[in-house]
Amino acid sequence: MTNASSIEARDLVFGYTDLPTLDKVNVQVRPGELVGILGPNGSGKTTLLKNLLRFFTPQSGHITYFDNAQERDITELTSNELARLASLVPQRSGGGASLTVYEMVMLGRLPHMESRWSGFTDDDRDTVNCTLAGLDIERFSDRPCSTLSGGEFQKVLLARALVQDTDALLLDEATANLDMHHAVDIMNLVRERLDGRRTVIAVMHDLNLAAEYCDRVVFLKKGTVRYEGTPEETYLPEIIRDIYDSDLYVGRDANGIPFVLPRAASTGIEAGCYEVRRSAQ
Amino acid sequence: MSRTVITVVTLVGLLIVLAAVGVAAGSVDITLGEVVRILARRSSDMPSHLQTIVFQIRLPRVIIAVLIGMMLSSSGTVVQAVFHNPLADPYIIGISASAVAGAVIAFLLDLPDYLYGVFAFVVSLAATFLIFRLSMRRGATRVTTLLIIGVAVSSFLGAFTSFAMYAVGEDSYRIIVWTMGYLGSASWLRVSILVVPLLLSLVFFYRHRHDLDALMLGDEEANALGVNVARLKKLLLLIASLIVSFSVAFSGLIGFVGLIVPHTMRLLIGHSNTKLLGVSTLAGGVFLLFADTIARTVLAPVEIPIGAVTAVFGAPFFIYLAARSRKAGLL
Repeated sequence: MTNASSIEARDLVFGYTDLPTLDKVNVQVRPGELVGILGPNGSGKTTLLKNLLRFFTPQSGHITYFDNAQERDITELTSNELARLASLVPQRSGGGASLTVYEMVMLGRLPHMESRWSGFTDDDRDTVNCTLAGLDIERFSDRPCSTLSGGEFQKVLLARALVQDTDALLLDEATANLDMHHAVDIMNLVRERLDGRRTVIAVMHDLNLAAEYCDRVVFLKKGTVRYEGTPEETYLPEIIRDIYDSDLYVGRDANGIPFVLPRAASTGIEAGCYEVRRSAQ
Repeated sequence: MSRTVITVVTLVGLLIVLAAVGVAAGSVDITLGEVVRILARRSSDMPSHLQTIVFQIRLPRVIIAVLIGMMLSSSGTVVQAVFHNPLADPYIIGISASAVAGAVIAFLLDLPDYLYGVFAFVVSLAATFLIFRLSMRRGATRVTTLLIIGVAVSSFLGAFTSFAMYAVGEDSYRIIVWTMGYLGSASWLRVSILVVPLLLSLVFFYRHRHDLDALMLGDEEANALGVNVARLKKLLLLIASLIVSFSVAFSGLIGFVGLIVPHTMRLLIGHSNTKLLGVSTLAGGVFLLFADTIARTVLAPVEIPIGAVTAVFGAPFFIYLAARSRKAGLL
């Protein structure tokens, strides 16, 4: 309502069958924000992302992208236009592990290709080389992706999304398979990239990683948005209990950043002194 | 890059040597020297029947072998990318068998030659989309389903073909030839009919070489890279069926080329379709020319069906690939 948004989903309804997987979901992402989409398995997090990328078409509702302050309904965009507005870092690549790192990252330039006949240009090659160097993976350039470790490969997928040069970067559990230090590495790289224009939407499992990196989180459960706000606002025992149906320990570290531990709650938190904004209810 | 260059140079060299051998070999002895002189039009002193044999019989046959090999190999490469599946080959998943059924229908209706290709195309297109639909689940094909449906479609249409063979009676040698593969009826007319679909498809595939790489990543990622996945896959399958049908209508069932050749080339130059498409097209021409030369010479003057030759190389290779895919958890 106040600042302009970057992506907006309004009253999104989508279902694989009669039962909606997403039921009137409203999400708004403002420029410069890193928004985490959280919630238990089957809550519709990944489905929401697939709708935002038009891999699935919602049964009703609207998705709007803001391209240079210009409102564009997702249905008006061509596949290439959409791929110049939003890029995806998947959890692991579905295939193509036999491509070299360079070939894999180069595919991120596909939506910018001007002519299918002449192919990639020197500019594209420069962009790819710079990005590979920036992520410190240029030494893998000629290696098949299948020979990389999980952390290295995830950087390759991030590089591919970065060379796509989009305002919105969508992470689908992009750090789920990684050791803690690699996950932190990826999230740092993602954060670094944010500026007044770019945004990140990250579907995440790890509540603690989300608390550290997200400006705002959206909690989904059974296809509806139950809570949204900053991690400080939303990481409360009653909310965590409501979302995950289980008593978890919610605490604050010395800097006031919340954390959640998988053990019975009861100690340490005075409930009720945090402002929580409920939404979509 | 240099590996690609070495591969291409080797293939071109092989193509030239095999073409010369292919023109020289046969029931009438013509030496390589004579072939060169005839082709260079320096043969006024030689008997004219030799020139006729070279120009009207052997040269078209060599060219047809190369063209058919290119069609089978390029369509195999593309079908593998569309199904994200190393075992997807038009022959194995039933596209070729349905093309034979189409050609047989045209034959039974006593239609002209070029309509064999058209009928083969129509029937194989219907079969291809049936196979595609049935083997897709949640945006991915399942290998086992694909193979089972391929076997079922092939058997069903194969039964139709056998039935037609008995129904036709005396003339059935035409149909037998289709089921085993035969390049002997080569002519310049047939060369010119085959060149058209081949060139059109290669241009189309070349234009989409980068999109094919994106398709290898899986539908979701390809979609996020701006590829209109459903539409592109349909177009690619349409074009692949087109060339498979024409190759089958003109030379019968020649299996495994679209499987062996792209795979060997992947081992040599990597998996990116930007290079693979061109190289495996060329290699397909070389391989089928090699197979045809063997088919004609090993038991000369008797000719072995070329489909039998490619199967001798292809079937063990298929088993090897299947074993490897099983290890990788794909099967």
